[in-house]
Amino acid sequence: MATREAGKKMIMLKSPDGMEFEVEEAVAMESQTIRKMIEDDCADTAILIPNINSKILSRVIEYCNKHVPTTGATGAAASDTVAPAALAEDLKIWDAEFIKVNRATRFDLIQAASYLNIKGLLDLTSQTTIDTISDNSLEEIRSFLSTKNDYLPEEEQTIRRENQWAFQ
Amino acid sequence: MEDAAARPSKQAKAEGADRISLLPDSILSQVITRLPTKDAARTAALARRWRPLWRASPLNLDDARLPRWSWDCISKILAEHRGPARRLRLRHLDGPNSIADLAEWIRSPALDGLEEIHISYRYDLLLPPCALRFAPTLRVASFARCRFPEGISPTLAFPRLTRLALTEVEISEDALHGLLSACSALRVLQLDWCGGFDRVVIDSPTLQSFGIVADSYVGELVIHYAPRLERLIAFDNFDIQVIRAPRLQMVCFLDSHKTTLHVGTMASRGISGGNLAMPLHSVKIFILDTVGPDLDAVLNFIKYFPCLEKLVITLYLEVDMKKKNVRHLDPQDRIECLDLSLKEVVLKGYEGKRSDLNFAKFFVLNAKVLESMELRVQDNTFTRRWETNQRRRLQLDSRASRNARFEFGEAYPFTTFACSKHAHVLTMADPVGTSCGVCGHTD
Repeated sequence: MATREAGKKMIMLKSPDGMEFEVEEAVAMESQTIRKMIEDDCADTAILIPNINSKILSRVIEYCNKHVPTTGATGAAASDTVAPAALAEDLKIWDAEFIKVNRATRFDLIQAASYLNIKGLLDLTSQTTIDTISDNSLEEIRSFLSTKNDYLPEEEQTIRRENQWAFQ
Repeated sequence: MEDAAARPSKQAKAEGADRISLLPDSILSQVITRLPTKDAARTAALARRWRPLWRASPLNLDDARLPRWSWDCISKILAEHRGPARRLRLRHLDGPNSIADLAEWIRSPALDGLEEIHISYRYDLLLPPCALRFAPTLRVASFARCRFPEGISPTLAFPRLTRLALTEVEISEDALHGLLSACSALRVLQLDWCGGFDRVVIDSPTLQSFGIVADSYVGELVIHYAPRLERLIAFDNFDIQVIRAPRLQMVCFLDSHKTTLHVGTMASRGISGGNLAMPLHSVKIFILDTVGPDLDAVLNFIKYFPCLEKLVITLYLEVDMKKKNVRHLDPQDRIECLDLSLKEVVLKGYEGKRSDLNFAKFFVLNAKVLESMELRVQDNTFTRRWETNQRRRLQLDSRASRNARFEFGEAYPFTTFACSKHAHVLTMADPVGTSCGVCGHTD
């Protein structure tokens, strides 16, 4: 239920495994998906977040809590603003700690960030994958991602030829 | 930052299935668009799942690691990619031919919707006017070593552009002001070693950080209306006039001799005369280089900042030490921040010779609420005995603020800023710290 507590509007988020999380509306609105639900008035009662279990959802909420703009400004993305002294670096350190999770959890977080449309979290969670793909050989990348090479050898040769510049 | 699972390892393999291939195309596209161009193209060869993704992901075309002189490959990418484009960065353009190529590339539909553009020539050539076709969608733009097209249309608009950097760009005063007034969302502006204008007038309701670097020519800089401006960096030889900047927090000037500051309207000109009717109360941090060092010049600046909390000065000692820097403040000569707000003084390049010792001593004896003074010592003069001697000569026992701490340390980094990249200095939390908060490296 949307309730009021200490002057702040609260929103209830429910995970499919039945857990409920009461969060400030401003925190929930870090998710563009939830923001849209709220703005379209589809969020009178608790919002069910499908496909995201309570363990992952609680971590997502933790992230949003940390990243919600403290100015109370809504709407404008904070990513381009000049960092208020110390705050940005503090967040960076916090993010680095936050993302120290195993690979399965990281992919769960990527999926959650994508579904909930939280750009900062998606950037953070996909950075490890980006780092892996940069500067590693195809074999190393496949090994890290557990991706099986399902090309026939001649098919792979064709693809390499098509964009020879990328394989030099 | 990098976690252990970031590298291929037995542990990573043991963690199981190919989770990434199950992610929707939209997420994989977002990963691909942030990869260097070459790595992005290579993903097509990983597995069938990946084959169509690169060409369908927002294009990030960067010549940084492409084979040198590979214009053909850029044309090929643009011909094959479906667009839209996210980012274009070309840094090796250096001849009329490549400019013709550039104009052709810019017209490519694959670049429609471009959000970020970085164009850098090796020498001064005209930027193709068609580069302005991205105005409606650009968020970030930088141009280097080119001539900016004349006759900017009054209808030109960059509604989303938040960061603009011009480096060694030749641009007329009219074109510059036309460009700036077209940027209705601009937050960070950087003008480095540009030419073609003598005067810059800032009129921007959105600008937060502004840096300008020039060589030896004297230019006029007017901050006319900048209600959100927090950071102003001006290097060097500027005649600066601040009319309205109520949120200006950090001010940085290079060279106390070559910069003049006027606050308020045209009437209150002259730093030495100093009409102090309109001080800048919002300024908390002031960063300055001073040759001499010249105490009088520094004090003339800080009179304008009655709520100043932190003063960072890089000292360049003159060999003949003309400046004795002995100054006694008369009661009518009051400098408000010394009495009420100045908590932190950092002196870089300190040698403990007469002129800089007296310079430092002035703050020891007059900064009444000082909490800390750091003396970052140049070269190898720094021994325990030397420090003890310095502490005595600085008259620390007679300090104006009983609680102040005084620390001697190495001058590292001696440069004014922690990072050599001006763009980072404009946005990082602590530009005068010891490492760059944006790129993470120690300069």
